[in-house]
Amino acid sequence: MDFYALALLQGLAFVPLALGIFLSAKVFNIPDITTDGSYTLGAAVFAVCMLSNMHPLMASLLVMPAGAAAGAVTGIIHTKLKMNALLAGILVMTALYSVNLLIMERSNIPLLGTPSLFVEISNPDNLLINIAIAGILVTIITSILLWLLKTDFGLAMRAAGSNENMIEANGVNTNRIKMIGLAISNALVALSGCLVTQMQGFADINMGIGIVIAGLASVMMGESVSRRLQRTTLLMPLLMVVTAAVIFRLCIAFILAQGIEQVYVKLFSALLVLLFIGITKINFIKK
Amino acid sequence: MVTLKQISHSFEDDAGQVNQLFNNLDITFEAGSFTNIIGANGSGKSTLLNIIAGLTIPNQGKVFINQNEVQHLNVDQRSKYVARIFQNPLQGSVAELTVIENMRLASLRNTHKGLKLGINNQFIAMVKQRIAQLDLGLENKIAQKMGTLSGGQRQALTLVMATLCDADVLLMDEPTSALDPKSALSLMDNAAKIIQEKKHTAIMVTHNMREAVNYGNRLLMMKAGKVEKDIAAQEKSTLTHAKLFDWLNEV
Repeated sequence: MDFYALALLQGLAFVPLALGIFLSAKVFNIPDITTDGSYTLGAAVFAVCMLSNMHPLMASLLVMPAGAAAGAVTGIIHTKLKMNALLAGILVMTALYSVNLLIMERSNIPLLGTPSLFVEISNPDNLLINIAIAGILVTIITSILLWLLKTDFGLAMRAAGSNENMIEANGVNTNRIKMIGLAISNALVALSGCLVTQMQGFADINMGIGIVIAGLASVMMGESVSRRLQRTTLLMPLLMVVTAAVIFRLCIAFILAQGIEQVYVKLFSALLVLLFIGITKINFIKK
Repeated sequence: MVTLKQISHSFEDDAGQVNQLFNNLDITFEAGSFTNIIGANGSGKSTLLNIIAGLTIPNQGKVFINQNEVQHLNVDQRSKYVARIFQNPLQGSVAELTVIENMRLASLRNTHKGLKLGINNQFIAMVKQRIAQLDLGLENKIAQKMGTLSGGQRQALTLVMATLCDADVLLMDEPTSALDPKSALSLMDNAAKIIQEKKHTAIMVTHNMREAVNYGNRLLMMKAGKVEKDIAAQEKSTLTHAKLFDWLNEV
């Protein structure tokens, strides 16, 4: 049982990632691959801050502007240089690999024994309290994002992703708002990287590879469920994305529990995504 | 008032050939006037609107709105002067947002969109009152997503959105071309009423001769980037469909 409780805890750590990808992919309609790099950036910045004895809360807050900067760079390349968003993201992601190595100065930083936002994460007796901490964090972040998307600025962001003509005719600089959107999205992704680092007790240069897939799976799954429920309020898709992020992690845990080796995890997560998307596309009502 | 001075503009077609559309075009639209522009496809009607809105930047010439030189301003910067109703009813509003959310964005056209929850009871009451003036019963649908409404309903709401802020200029690019006759009539009646009330400088491109005759107080006929006929208020008030068709055939 502890195994799945641990997966639930990890799932909660992936929620900011899913919300970040919800923002870029669903609100702005931009496939942003910067994610793979900014996730590791969050881990790298946190690890280095911890090595210099910073308070874990301070370090966790600091990773967000770092992630935001990465997102903003993708935004600038996409909007100012008119480069395809996918390509801009790949470009920044590739560059971030070196940046992350420069920050970390090695490919792996173990953080066992250093303080974190969680209570002695390695001790299984603390699982419940740590789930509660992660739960509170996730609730705060989701609430802030929900509030943001409902503000006048949030309305403009949602409009910019869906109808550029309209929003420009209503006085919004779409380039600027896309850049800010990508910055917020990658700040959330970096936060996920930092939370996962705190849970696993190390930062690794390769931890971000393919992470965008995990986020995208949660977003697509959440979106299709909320559509099937025919609930069109903003709260429902957000809650579904949050839930899907956790379920995705639980599925991975289930796969691992079947005795499948760690090397196959990425392969299975890709298959899982395929399965999720496949299920949501199949029309169960025969005509 | 909108003034176009010495506008020259050419564009490259799909075959890569450069076509000169406007050559030193001068036009003034007086404040509070309602001008219809008619003409065949390719005569430059929509490009003229795009030049005023900032969507097309002319190769040469100047655009003034109320003595402010605006040709260096982008679409979003120009939106404080210019409100626009697009030809496609789906283009003027955001399908994924509710009616009231679309209205909120439109109400902020001239101002900063900040971190404020702006949709309060007072705002809802104001919007409902404005929508009720359309007399289409849409004031009861403000919580619905825009995408769930028909083209006619969306275009009518776009009219309210465009006139929610006091923009000087209202541009309408074939606003009724995608609507059924009843919705088209209702939209034009409402537009004429609002334009008169708010004293917008209105410019409408249309292919509908009935609209060209029945609405507005000036009519421009365009051909190959030139104004072939400029029919002012007095003459326009006596204009008939038959006469207009004769002119069109001449042009």
